[in-house]
Amino acid sequence: MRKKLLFMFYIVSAMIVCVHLAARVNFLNKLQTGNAPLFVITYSDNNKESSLPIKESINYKEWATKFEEQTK
Amino acid sequence: MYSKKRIDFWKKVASLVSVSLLLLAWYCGSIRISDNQSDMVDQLLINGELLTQIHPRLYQGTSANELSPVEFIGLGSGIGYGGITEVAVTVSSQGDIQRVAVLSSKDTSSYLDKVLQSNLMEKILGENIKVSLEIDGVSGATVSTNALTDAIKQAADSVRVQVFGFSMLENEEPVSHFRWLDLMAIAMFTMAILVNKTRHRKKSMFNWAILLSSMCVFGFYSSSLFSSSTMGILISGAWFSGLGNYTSLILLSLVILYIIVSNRNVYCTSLCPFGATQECLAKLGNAKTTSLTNFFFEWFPRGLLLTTLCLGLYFRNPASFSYEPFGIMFGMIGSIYLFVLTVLAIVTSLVVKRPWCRTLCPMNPMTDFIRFNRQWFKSILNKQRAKREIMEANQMADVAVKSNEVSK
Amino acid sequence: MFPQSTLLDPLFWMVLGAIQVLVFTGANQWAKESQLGMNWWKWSVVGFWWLSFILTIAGAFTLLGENEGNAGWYVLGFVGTLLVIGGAAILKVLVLLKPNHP
Repeated sequence: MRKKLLFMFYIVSAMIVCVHLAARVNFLNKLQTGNAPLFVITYSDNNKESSLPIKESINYKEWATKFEEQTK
Repeated sequence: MYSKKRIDFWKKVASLVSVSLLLLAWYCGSIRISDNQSDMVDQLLINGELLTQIHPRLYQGTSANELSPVEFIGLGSGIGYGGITEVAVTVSSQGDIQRVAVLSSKDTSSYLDKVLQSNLMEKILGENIKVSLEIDGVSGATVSTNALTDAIKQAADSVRVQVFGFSMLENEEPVSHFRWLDLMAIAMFTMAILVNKTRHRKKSMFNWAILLSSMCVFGFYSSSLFSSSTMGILISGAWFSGLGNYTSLILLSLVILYIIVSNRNVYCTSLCPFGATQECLAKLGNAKTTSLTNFFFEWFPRGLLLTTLCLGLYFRNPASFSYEPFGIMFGMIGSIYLFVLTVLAIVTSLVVKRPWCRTLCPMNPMTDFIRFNRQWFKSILNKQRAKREIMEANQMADVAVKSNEVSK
Repeated sequence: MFPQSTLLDPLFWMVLGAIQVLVFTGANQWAKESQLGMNWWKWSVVGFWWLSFILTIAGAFTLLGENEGNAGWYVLGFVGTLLVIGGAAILKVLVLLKPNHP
């Protein structure tokens, strides 16, 4: 029984690890070919009162219509 | 089925093929790397139209209708977990930080994501570089945070020197990255060797003490146990230019040295924090030992480790390629796949003793590889010694015969 | 589970209720057969554990239903695993505290 459990654990773990490594390879490949920086953040001075950059405000109307469609 | 000699022969072939594949991966990785830094920096201009390089760490952006530069882009680097983190900072001509970009990083992406998703970067935007930059830390990702902040400060300083004419950067020695944990690692490894050698009647209790301390210190407290990514960092030489955290590398090096010297692995039995966790769960659930003996189960983990190390060398990013559940178990950080793996391993540990150790742990292939090659090397040395002894014996026999003839 | 359906929803909850009854009677029977010597505080501990377990599953699937996929799985993974370990610990304690019959 324990041997069967270990066997199942082995197979499932092996699959998970392979998927994980494939995802990593895919990600790093895209990064290399993309030639873009990993992460960029820019200052926006639209709002002169605060010193923090403006985050995109949530479009509530769009969100509300989406939610309504989902729960119909 | 096959004779021992034949199996040995194929193992020797596999050993040589593994080393060749690692070298090939390294070589292919070097071909793949292209110097696209100036292209990347070009994308970071905001108001400037033309990018010109002043020196390797500083670019300036000029506009057609302005005489003086409108902005500067400084480059900086910091030492992270798996190597160097490169950052670019776009600064206006008055010294205000307009844009921050991470160009490359060798840290495990989950840690980097944690730092980038915090508002560490946002707080820097709009700050003027005339004064020193105060950057907060992110708990649970100290090494990655330090790498980023060092890189940002260095990048800002390149521009500061150009715009304001003075520097604020203190030169940090890589040696300062050594911490008390590194001494702890050496001390506990020594204790593990002593406990394994002793025949004291309380040996088992001492072993448990070391296991539990290791689980707390190197596991839950600092999450500094080594993994296949550490092995990748070791063989890729990423530690030459300095590392943010040496503890796991020190532990790994000590383990490898001890296996070479004494052919024994004390890490798995006495030090591994994840092993300790599995042992505790086994005690809780009355788990029994069982193992799978089959060609596939023996060789799959070896192929897996080899693939992981090759990928790390090829992409020059060993920290990205690890597949152990440790990060989730102790640092609460990692990809969703490893999270599922961790849950599986923990739950199975209640029923089967040390399931991860018995299946995919990369320590087994690494230990087998070192032991096999050590044995092979020893047998070569022994053969040479035997040959030399036979030659010497023949020579002495010749001399004895000649002296007999002469005396006659 | 099926808020839109007037047939499946009550059926689902009836089945879930029946399963719970089976679990309770089964646990009672199993404790008697294993001669665990259950009393009021032991049942309280087990009851508390069961309550935590079903709340975790309910919470995790609620999050999944609210399109918080990652949160749902993480709750199930973290809290669920801790509860499984807790359950194993409680079982061990119950077995250790078994009254020794002559």
